[in-house]
Amino acid sequence: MFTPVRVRLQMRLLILRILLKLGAGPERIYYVGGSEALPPPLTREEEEFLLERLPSGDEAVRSLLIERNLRLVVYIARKFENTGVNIEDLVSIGTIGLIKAINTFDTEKKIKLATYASRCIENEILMFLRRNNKVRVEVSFDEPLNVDWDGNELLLSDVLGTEGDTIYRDIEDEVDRTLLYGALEKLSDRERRIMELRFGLAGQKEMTQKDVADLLGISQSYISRLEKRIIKRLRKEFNKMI
Amino acid sequence: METNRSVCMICERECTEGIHILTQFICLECEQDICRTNVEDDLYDYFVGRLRGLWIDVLNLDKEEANGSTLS
Repeated sequence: MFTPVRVRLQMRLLILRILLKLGAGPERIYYVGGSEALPPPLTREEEEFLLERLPSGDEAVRSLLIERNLRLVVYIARKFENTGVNIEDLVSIGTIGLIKAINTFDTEKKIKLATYASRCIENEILMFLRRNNKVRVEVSFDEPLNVDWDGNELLLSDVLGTEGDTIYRDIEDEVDRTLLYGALEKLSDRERRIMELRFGLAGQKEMTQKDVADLLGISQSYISRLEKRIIKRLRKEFNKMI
Repeated sequence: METNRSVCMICERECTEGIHILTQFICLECEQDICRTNVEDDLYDYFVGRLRGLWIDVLNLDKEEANGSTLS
């Protein structure tokens, strides 16, 4: 049945789809502390209408569901303001939680979107705070273990492995190479391509991050972050193989 | 007809597929990347830093506060 709300939402979705096609995003700016506010939350009928369409993968539907739940992000983020993390970071982390919530929400399950999204947003912020706390209790390589009579500090890094402890042998290199190519198979096409270009794994010359970024049309800083993540993943794959 | 593209606020590429949040655009690939990333991931802080761009106007903070990120 076409109620006025449904017709209005159909129109809103249509406009949003056209804007997406034209590459022109909405030009509204909302201020939490100003005269204008964030977009209002969805009514029950509006939410039902959009959730019916969520499984179809419609980007306009996801856009609207995320945008209209941003107040929830601010509300939850404000509860963590006394943790020392500034509000901009908290709402950004909350947004990641909200994006994950909309992408993983199961419309078949009898749970309200606001309940599920709240849990995802809060969980995302809590995980971040836990990580930050963990980082603080980690020991630094420059941690002084002892101080002699002259005041010279013995650092943790002084007693860790030195170059003399490292053994290079051809056979080890060969094994490493086999492991590396095995681990590369586990990467996505884009990730493997970045590694091949950066380190010349496909037999060609190594390329700089900037060259790879230009070639793939991605910013250099993003390549740098992707590279770090890929290397971490490769390490994990190595550990599984050994 | 040639389809116009939007610039993704995460990877800065011009893309056609993705989501619009307020005045910003996130391409489909980055949206999926965000969903796969957890707090331990090196990319996580990058995403948080980029998403600050979404909120800088919304929160209407003064510049001094906006520059004081707790992330490295």
